[in-house]
Amino acid sequence: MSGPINNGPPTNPISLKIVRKMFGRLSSPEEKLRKMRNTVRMQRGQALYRTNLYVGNIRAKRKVGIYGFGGCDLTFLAGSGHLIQPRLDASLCINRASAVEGVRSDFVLQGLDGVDGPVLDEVVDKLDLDRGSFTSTLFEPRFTVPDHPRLGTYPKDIVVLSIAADLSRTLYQHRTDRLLIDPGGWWLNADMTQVLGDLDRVKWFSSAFKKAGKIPLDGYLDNLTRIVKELRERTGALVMVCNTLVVDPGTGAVDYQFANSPATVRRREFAIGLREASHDAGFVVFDVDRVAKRSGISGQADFVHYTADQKQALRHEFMRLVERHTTLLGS
Amino acid sequence: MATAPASDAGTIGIVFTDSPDVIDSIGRPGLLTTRTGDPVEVIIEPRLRSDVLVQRLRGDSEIPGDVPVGAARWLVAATSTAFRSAKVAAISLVAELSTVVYRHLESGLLFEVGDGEPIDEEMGRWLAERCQPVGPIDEQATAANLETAVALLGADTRLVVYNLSTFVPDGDDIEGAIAFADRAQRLDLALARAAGTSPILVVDADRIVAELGAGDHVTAPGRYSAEAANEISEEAVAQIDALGVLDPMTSELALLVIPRYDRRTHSGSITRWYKRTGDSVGPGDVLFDIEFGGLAANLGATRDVKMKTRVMTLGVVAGDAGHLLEVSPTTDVSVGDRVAVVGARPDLDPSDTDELTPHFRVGLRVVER
Repeated sequence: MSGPINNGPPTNPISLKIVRKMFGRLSSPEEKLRKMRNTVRMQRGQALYRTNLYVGNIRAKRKVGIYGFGGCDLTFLAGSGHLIQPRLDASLCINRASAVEGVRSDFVLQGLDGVDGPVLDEVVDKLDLDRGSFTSTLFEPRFTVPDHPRLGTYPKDIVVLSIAADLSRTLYQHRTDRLLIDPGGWWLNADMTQVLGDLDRVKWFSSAFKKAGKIPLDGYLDNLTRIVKELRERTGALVMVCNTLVVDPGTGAVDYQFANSPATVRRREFAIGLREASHDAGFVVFDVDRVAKRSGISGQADFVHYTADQKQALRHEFMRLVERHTTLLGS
Repeated sequence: MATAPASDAGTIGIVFTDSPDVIDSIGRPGLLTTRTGDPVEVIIEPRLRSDVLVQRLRGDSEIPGDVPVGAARWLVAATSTAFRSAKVAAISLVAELSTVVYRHLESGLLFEVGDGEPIDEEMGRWLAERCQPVGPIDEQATAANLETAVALLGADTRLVVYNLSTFVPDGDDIEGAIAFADRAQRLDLALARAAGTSPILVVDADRIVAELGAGDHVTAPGRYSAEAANEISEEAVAQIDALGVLDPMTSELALLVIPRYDRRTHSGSITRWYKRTGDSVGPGDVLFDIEFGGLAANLGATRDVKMKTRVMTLGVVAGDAGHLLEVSPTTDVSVGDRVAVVGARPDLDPSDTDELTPHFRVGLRVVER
């Protein structure tokens, strides 16, 4: 394990306090000030580190990019920058540029094949969805640093995908247009009066869409094979795919006599399927299950949210895989 | 309702194999006793792979006459009949990792050669000329063998199977450790699938060890730390207890108590009864739904620690046949609370029960998560 992360002393903390006092927390001026501070930090040679973003050594000419495309289970990724950057004679950017509701493999391929038309217009309008989420940026060869476009673009040297969305997300399909949508999880924690406040919209959704259910393993592996092929052709990236913890933390059924726990069986099936497909499809399996179990799973709330210790262990495993499967870090 | 009498000695037979995970958990002297304090009769057998187990349960193979003296012990172990007379048979998937299973060409008898056992010249020649190595077993065969074993054991013997921690220390061989994880994952899946279709009880060593941190609690395949062995033991004993085999089983009455689902669930609410006083019940009948709630865990975020609460509804399913003689109107219950009395006949008096009355065998089925 490495020591605590140190980004250096904060830049002029007083000004942030003043801005908060004047405009409230998380205001637009505070956001602008944060960006300015981060820019100054980076120009001083410090790394920018947020939950889903790491940018280091911005003055270097060579750029190395690691692009994460998955849900909460990939939040360990950006922290790997502190391990990898010191070994690189380049500027490193690690970005997890997605949320779990946009990364199920069939939804991703729908975006690759292109989706447009009046049905999409109606869906975007009525469900307040981001139109951009229907056109995946996953297959573009380079990516920009969020909030810092002046830093230019980074190549996708490594793309990290996750199996989690295909394990757990349920999509909905338009009954006539066959458009797939993932309404997202915001409503789980939203005020129910807001969710059910517009009953016409609820009625429209239930009449226009049907549940597409969870994706079967064969379907997932077919989709993943195509995604990896397209990624390698379009970006030249090394593709890693993370499995998840297969067991349910804290839910040990003492009596399995008639218990039916399809979720854990499904996770094992997907983990094994992933391993079997990896050679022919040309991707590297990141065995998150093994690393999570090694660190201890008792602090986990569920199979995709990892503890701080687990995340640090995952970063070290990521570093090992980068060393083994790329030449980015030298010999 | 199961009313199997205790054995002649007043004890109940449990046979288990000497795989390290099994021995370290339920193999401890004095651990398994009945509710009345009688020791449970325990028989320990050499560990055996599922294909050898099935052959042994079939009991249709005899020791061939050409066996050298030194090799006799291998074949004697392969023909023991202890499993067929036990109330509980506990085995481990560790045995599936064995690659030293042979088949005697003439008799077809399968047997295992112990790891690192000395083999003299005569035994080596006999193995080479009269026997054939069977090689490693695949997961489909393991699943099929386990299902066959359940069928051969019959309703009077319950099969308890320990799954494998998929973690082994990597040392200098990380690729080897990952390959092991892959193999163990497949075996655990095979067991889970078999347990979904056959009444096999799973001791989930993979999860228990992972809860503690497999990095500190696994030394080799199936070999766990003392702390992990304690945890596994607790679950294994609970499994065996849930079967009712630790009860004297001499009563025609049984208490229906709230079963434990996991270590974090202590109380819940009965949301719906499907049976009423006077109804007869059969194996597989859903008796009532219970909602366990308040499962909280730390998400483990570094900056903002969040709490998550889950509610789980489970159906409590009858494991035996009987008649509901009394149903408690209580809805808020804790694990172990008595909620009903079940009798072998409808004319029995439910008040003839006490704390030593055996528990009615039940299972849990996930209704909603």
